[in-house]
Amino acid sequence: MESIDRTTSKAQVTKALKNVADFNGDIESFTFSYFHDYHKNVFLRSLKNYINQLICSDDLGNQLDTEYFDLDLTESLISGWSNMAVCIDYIVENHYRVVGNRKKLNL
Amino acid sequence: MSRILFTITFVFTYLSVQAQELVLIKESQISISTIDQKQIRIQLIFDMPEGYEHSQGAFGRINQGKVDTKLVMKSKKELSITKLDAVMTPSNKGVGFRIDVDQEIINALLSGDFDYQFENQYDLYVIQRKVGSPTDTTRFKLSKEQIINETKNKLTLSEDDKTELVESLNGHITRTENTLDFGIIPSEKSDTDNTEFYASFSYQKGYIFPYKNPFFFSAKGIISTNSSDSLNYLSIYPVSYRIAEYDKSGQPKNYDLVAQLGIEGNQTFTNYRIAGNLYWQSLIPNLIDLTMGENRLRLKPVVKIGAKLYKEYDNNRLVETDNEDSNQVFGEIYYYIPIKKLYSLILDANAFYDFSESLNPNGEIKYNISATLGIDIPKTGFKTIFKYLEGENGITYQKDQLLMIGLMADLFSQK
Repeated sequence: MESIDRTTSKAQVTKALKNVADFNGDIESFTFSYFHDYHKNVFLRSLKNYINQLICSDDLGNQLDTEYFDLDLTESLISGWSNMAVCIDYIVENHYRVVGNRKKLNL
Repeated sequence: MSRILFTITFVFTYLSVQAQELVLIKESQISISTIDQKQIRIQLIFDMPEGYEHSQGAFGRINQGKVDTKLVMKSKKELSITKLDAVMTPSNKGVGFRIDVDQEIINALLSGDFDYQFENQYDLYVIQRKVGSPTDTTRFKLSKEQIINETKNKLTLSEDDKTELVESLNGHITRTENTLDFGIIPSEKSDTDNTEFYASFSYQKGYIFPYKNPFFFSAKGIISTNSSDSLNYLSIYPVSYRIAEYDKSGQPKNYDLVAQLGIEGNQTFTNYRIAGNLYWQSLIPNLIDLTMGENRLRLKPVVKIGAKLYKEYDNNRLVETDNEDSNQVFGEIYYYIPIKKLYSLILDANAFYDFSESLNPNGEIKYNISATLGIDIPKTGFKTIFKYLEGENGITYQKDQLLMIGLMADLFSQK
């Protein structure tokens, strides 16, 4: 994919959330209340890892193994996310791809 | 003739490329990343008509072989030049430049002793397009000079970002969301027959030294207006050390391993000891489901298992005994349990076994439990709770129980 749309973003957030919790429905209304600091760290690390693993393509649809998606994440960001929907939107608005004199990480 | 035409076409094309319109830059934004690799990024936001975006997918293709970015740092004092590898980070809004940082690089950037800028060996090109119309595109040039001018000495961080970036070098464990809970013990439940007020807290903060270090300060406890309440305690660990956060391949470990040295005592320190802890912490699968089919987030329990060595210096036990040197093994669990649609139960439990024959003559496993029942009140940050504490204080070994009515609030949440 050339950029991360909301459907893809939500799928990654759902996968990351499954590493710290169980649930049986839509995630968008869930909040970060009662998250132990350990839950937060595992969630954010998982989220970054899943985003890094998404397959990048160029504007002509060619899959690339020299570029990867990434996202600036800090633990304090969670304080500003009122629920998972805000987290999902943050990914769509702020993701980027990494290009340059580094090869894609061996993910 | 054909040769002349070819030459004219070539020159015309060359001049057209050289005369490519420069991309307009609206602003630059600085951001940090502290999860796993610590990074600073500056993003140049393009000035585009509404409904247009930058084609991030085209960037690598049309600039193939020309992306070779460095952060060039020139010392003001020593006239030396350092070049750090950087990557470019195109997005739908523009183009960014990112570097990995460690303590040394952060110190250099914040010291004011360096002029710095990102540089790329070649001019680069960007494509802007109308959203939803992939063929409605315009190509612009991002020149080498623009990159220098737009990034020169612009990696300025807010105070909050500076603090978070520096503290993150000490590891994620120091970024705990500090908590402070208040409560009221009704007079009929109080040991003093007066209404008493409680506060329970947990606090952690990394030490900021000129070099990266895994040390942090940790403290937790329960204190009250009844200073002699047997459930009060203070645990202060000025030396807490994160043993390892990453494995040899650089991947984060799925557990914490921490060593601590500090002082533990009751609120007035008429009973206190010097203690050293070593503990392992991680998540375990959910043990129970009380949601009755409601879609609630059921967080997995956080479990801590460890061992303690301690040396008592004073004790106020009712039966006069010598100060003890002993050791314990302990386990702790934090478990948030959603109940049906609106209720929540938070269990914070600790069990320990003390190997001292005088303090634990029957060889029992002792415990203390905090159970908080809450209900969500819409559109507020507070929940009305009933909080029940029971068990043996792990420091004074006094038993007690109390029921506390109060409002729970996170006052020290990180922003």
